[in-house]
Amino acid sequence: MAANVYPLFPPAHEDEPDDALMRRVRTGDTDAFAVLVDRHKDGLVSYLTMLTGNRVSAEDLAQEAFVRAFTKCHQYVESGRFAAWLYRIATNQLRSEARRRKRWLERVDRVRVWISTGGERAPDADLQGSEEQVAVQRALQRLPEDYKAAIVLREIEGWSYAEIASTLDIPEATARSRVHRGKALLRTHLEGFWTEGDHAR
Amino acid sequence: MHDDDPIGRALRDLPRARASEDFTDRVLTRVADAVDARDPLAGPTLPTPANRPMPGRTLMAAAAVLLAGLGTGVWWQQAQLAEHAQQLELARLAAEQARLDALHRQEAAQRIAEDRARLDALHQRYQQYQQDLQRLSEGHRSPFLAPGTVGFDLDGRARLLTPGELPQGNDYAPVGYRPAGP
Repeated sequence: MAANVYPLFPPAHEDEPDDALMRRVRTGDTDAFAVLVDRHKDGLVSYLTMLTGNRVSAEDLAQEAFVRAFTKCHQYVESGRFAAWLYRIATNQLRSEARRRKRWLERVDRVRVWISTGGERAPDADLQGSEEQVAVQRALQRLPEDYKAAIVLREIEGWSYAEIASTLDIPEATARSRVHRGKALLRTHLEGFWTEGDHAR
Repeated sequence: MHDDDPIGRALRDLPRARASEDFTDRVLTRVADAVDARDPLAGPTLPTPANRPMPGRTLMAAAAVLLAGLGTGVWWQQAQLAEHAQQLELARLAAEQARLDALHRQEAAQRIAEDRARLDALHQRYQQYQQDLQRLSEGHRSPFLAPGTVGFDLDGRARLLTPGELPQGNDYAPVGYRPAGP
């Protein structure tokens, strides 16, 4: 049977700002941390899915990022940018993971998808949506990691360049440049698929 | 700006992945595991999805405790009660520690205030003494100067004054000075 736990902290409220919740987390208040997780989990999983092209890996990375955010909560400087801090942890984690296991993961993922689908589906079977959306996601996956992260944060998550710069640990001008160049590359990759009629839609 | 940008529009139209239903619970479980792994001798385990207090779970817990007491033995229930008592004792000790800390802070502040008052009084007395000493060294008669008290010669040496050495007619004449005359 589960042990009863005496409430040591006043209940955390859904509308409390991130910084106030992090102050509670520093005292060991896991209920406050649960509110933070609920608030940011969808955005983080979406962001990591766009970067990895693999929802399972993205969810695992997101969980690890939250665990690290909890264990390193004393390093957080209250600035009203908890999300940027969290995404930075996740992005750094993704980079180190990618460096360490890049080739191995690619091969294993391809084998896993091939086995689970009987070898009939494409390797990027996680991609969903219309034909155009699949093409856009496929083109996104072909971008360099740095461009991809900047574009996803700017165009999909709707972040400011200052927030992107803070998350990726780069100057704001570099963030603008990466978004601009990344979109130009995307446009190039989609040229074969995207007709003039599709543009006009 | 974005509306004129087909690439941006296409990106924003992409289907967005959502976290799984049990995402938060799994994160909290991993957090609890991480904390336990970091310090195995830590106190009570952090609340996890399995032991977070819930109304339904409380009823189930009560029923299970009852069954445990009746069927499987009272020792299990006693272990739970002991754990609860331990938690209460820890909380009580923490409160007592906080109270003592506050008391010590209050006492320390009071001692500091008393010491400061004593120091001020000593300083005032010291200043007064310095002024008197200065006046005496300049050979001026102190308002409190009387035969038998300490005075200074013109060469600066201190000794007891005699009645004949008291200045006459001039409170501020140097000690030992006598006006010319018969």
